[in-house]
Amino acid sequence: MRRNGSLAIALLAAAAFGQKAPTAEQILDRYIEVTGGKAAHEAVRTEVMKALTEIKAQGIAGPTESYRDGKNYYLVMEIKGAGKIEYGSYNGIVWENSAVMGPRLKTGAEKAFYEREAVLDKDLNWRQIYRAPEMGGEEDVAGNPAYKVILTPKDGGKPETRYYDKASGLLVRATIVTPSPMGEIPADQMFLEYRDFHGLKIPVRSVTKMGAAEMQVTVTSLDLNKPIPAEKFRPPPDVMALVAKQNAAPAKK
Amino acid sequence: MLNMRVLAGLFFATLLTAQPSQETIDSFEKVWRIVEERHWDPEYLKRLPDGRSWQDIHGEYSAKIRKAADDAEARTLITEMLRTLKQSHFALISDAPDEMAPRYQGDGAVGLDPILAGQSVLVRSVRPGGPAEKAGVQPGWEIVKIDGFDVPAAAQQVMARKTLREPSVLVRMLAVGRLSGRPGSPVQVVFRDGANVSHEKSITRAKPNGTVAQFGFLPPMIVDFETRRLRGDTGYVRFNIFLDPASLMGKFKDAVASCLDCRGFVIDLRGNPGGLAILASTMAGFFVEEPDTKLGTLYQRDLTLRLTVNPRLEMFRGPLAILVDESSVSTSEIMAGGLQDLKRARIFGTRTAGAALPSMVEQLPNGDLFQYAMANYISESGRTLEGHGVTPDVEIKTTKASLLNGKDPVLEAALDWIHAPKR
Repeated sequence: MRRNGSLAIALLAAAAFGQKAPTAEQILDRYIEVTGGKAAHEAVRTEVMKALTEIKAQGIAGPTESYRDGKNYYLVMEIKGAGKIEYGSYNGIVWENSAVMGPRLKTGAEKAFYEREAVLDKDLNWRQIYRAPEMGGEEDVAGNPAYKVILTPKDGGKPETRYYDKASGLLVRATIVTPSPMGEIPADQMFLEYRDFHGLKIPVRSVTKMGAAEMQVTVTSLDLNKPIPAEKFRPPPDVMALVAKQNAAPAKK
Repeated sequence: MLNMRVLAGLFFATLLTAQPSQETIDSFEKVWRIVEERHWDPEYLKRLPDGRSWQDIHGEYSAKIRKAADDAEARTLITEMLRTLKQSHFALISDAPDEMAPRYQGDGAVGLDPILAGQSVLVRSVRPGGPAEKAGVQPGWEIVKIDGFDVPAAAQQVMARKTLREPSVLVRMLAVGRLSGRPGSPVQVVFRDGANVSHEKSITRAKPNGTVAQFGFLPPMIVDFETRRLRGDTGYVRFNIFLDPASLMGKFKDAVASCLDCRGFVIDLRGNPGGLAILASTMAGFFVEEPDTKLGTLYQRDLTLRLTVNPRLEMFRGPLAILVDESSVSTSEIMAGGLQDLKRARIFGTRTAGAALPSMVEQLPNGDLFQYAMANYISESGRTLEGHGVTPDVEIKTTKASLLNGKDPVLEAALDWIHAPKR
């Protein structure tokens, strides 16, 4: 029922959009409508996502799990041959730990980027995170016309460009710049195969190009509003040791 | 009429088998396209070292491949095409029979480390308590035959092939591969000692002390890690490949953490063919305290990645020596060259392979694998290691005589430096 209602709203919105070019804000708000509506988005308190991450061309794959409760974030990937890769945001500590890189506290632009990623529903709460969005015109994505919206984070981060399909209103592409210790890494993401999960439309497949690599993430399950134990977000001992060292160090003047 | 049909069928079947398969032709096209689209320097492709362009190369080899007698000839042509790039880490990896290809026959090993010295393949070291030591094999002995396979002849053939890779690396891989097999299985090896006396040994392969690692399309490989204390107060680690970080980095961290008050630390990268490039900067994090220090930069076509060192809590601040040789390749070179640039390590041994291009491995339509370099590595001082290698601060060759005398002059020189009253 909700699906039909959403479809009707989408068709009406599409018809209205056909008459006059929408504003960037209208496009972002329309995305909330076509993916389930404001009430459905607002009802989400926690999110547990399980997925398969693959770099198919190189034969690299592994399960991924992410947890969000509105305040904290935790993601773990287990890649065969590379081991466990963990990211998290917990009580202001934004961290990473992996066999490949070792434990690390994120700072500066990188910390701000991952704090934004930790927000439970960036699409619904974009007004808290970004400055006024700008229209970037129209551009085809996979042969279909799309609206281009540029979002600049309030925290000074690099702008993100999002592409919303003109007909469906769904987010189909985004280009972002990911800060990392290796430098800024531009990424081009495609969002595919939207499916219904508990009244929300979610893209279950994303394909991200970063340099010579192409990574695909396929969602295998999504649980909303299930309680997540606080321990899930607590950083591992190696990371807490870094926090202790940082806290023990005299503050820089 | 029926017989005519059968004959016609056989005739066409013969025609079909006397050509490369469509999958191999598609593989050729994919190999060419990957280089065209992902080589980090499009200008280089416009004018290759022999004056032709990569586009010219396509025209020439596209015609040759289609006229090839079979898949084997087509594979040879693809390899020949890749050689026109005159750069490392471009290789076709195939299961097709090739007498000179490294042949890993199982997880079992005999516990000896081969090295190409001049024209001979010598035993550089034997693992204490391993099958080779139990069979009485001595460092410095020449490896003459492995299950009837003529090692000196193979070494000569490899050197004559003018492949893209350093011959010492290929010969080493060839010997290690031939010595490998099912744990518990015997291998007949003929050695020649210092007095030119032959010793035929039947050695029973054993499961090595390492972990089996598999990353992407690479075949399973044993990651062997060794750590000990030398001269009572100096840490020493040796590992055979930069893979399986979950296991390798834990052991490396423990080795450093247990030696924080040591007088010095030695990392032995001789014979190490590389692996995950990022592990060079990760390991450097145990020796470099300054935040935001870089071990160099990887330049892809559309992306620049800095190898930033992540300083660890377990920090060794004393003198660091890194041992290298001609078979220290890729990530080994990045680690040695990068830390040499930062003046954090002193390098001992012989010049490294000069094959320091970060690479990826993709599967081709015919099932072969294609390893291709997708970035150039430039050290912090602006050095290109590809084609040049890392020149040690202290150049010392391992000779047959020194091995026969039970000496490791490279390691000894590093230890002497660490223990010198005034450095």
